[in-house]
Amino acid sequence: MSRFLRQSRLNGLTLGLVVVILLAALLGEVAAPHSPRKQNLANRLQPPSAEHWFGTDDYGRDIFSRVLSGARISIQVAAVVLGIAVTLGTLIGAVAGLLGGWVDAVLMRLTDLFLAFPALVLASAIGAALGSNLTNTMLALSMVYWPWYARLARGQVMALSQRDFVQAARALGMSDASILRRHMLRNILPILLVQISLDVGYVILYTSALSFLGLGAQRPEPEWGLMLNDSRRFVQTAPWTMFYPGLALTLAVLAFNLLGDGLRDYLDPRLRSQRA
Amino acid sequence: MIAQFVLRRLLGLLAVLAAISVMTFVLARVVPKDPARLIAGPRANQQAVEALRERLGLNGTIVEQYVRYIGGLLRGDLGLSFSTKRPVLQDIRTFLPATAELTIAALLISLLLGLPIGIASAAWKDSPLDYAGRFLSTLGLSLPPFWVALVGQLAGYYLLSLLPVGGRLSQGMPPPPTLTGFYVLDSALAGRWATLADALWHLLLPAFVLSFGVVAVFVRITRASMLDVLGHDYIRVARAKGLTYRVVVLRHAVRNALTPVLTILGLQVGLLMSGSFLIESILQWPGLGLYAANALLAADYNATMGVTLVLATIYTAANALVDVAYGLADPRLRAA
Repeated sequence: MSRFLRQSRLNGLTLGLVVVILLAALLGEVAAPHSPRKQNLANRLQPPSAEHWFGTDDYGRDIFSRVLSGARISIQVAAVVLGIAVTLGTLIGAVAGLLGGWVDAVLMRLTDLFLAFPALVLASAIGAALGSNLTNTMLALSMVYWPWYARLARGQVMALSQRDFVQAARALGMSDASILRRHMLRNILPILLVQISLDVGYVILYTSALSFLGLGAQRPEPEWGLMLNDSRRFVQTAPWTMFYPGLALTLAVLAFNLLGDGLRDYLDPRLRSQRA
Repeated sequence: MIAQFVLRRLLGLLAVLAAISVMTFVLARVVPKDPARLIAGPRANQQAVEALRERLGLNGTIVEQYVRYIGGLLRGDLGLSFSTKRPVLQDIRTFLPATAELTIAALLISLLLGLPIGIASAAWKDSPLDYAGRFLSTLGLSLPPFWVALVGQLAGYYLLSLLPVGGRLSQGMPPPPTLTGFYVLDSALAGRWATLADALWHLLLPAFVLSFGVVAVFVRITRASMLDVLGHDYIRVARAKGLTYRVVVLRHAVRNALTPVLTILGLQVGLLMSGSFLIESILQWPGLGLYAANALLAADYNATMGVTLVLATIYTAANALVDVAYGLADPRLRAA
């Protein structure tokens, strides 16, 4: 931890930002000065003030409280999406890499199929087919992300298979499953971690994008993308309704991008130029 | 050898396209809402819904429906859009040129900004310029395009009154005679300079907003690739021969560093398409993104799946094209 912080001055700032976002996700709704959902029409579209730091929206709801509470939705979705995508992808990729042959060919063509669609286009098509809500958004984004992890895991497993310690384990009669569990996962983990931390930001961004399109979170949820969509009518008259949710979203994505970059440099400097 | 390589890639492309058609079909048929009921409205009787189901090709077994669907696709029939009541293909033909024009403009801006920033960032590594370049690229990747579009609209239109509020041309400005469907190109070809200026003025904000994320990717890849090349022996030799750093960077390094950038060009088309879904509706750019955003809201699944199919096809074709170009540039890859 301290070595990570010493490596770059930016890492401290990044970690601070990530902690703030995680705290907001954990305690945001409790710590918020107002209810994120309670309407007060007498108080609508108020500019930022001492009472309402980020102003109020068209239903008179406190934007600061909504922005703070929105962190939970974003982090929750990212956790579920990456939980599914990483488990499914790693499993499929590892099986393809270990077994090779026709199993590998079939599984890799399947991943190619999912990768043949632009990410948001596929996510919105799946979202539209399943129906507009946050659960379906999570499913749609998991379907977009698993092929990347399958490819990553397959490549790693294939490279590790050639290494002496794996060959030795195999010569000792260990099964593929235990080689994978005992020897390979530990070696794949750092690379997975870097990828996950980079993807948290993008999943948050895509979740908001889908909500913005009307597919994800539904009103009155305090979701950042949905808040941005609601603010479109007030860009000129009440720009604060658009400014703060966007800023929160940008900072969250930025924080996890920087964390991913920092972790990559920390865990393996050689990885630096491999993926941009 | 080359013909064989191109042929192999083409066959691969056809296989992926066939798979894409299965995928969009599956997505269209797992729709939980009953599309026939949806269009007919809640008050229509069961008989009317059944008649509509038959007319839309939603009756019969899944295999029958798929055969009908593929037969339609091969004839260029993507079904009827429920919201516009026009054939989806006709709608796509109407809206695609606007998106293509926007995407190409954004790609040009990304290359014009991303490559020089990436090259300079690597050439002066760890200088303030490098830090600025890296910060910009990380920020570019983190900024939500729909937020940038809203901020751009606020600043450009409402606050500074410098930019138009949306659309491809000002009201009352007749579009140029259609040759390519690209207003900028068509008005230049027709010699209508006032229309050209107006089209460029309208294109400016959407293209810039759309290019943000892609500029960031180009900066990153170019910088990483340049740093890699600059570490090679032949660069040291060139320096040792007495060539200036400037000449070495521009003549020797850049040429070799740009090949990896080519490989990711196809992927960027996907990023731009995803972006067009988001910003076209905000900036009222009458393209496929706006059409798709409306179709998504209206649960217009024929239109949604038609757009998905067309965009995936373009994306796959773009990647195959890049693949072939790269293979022609580097013979080692043809065997792969």
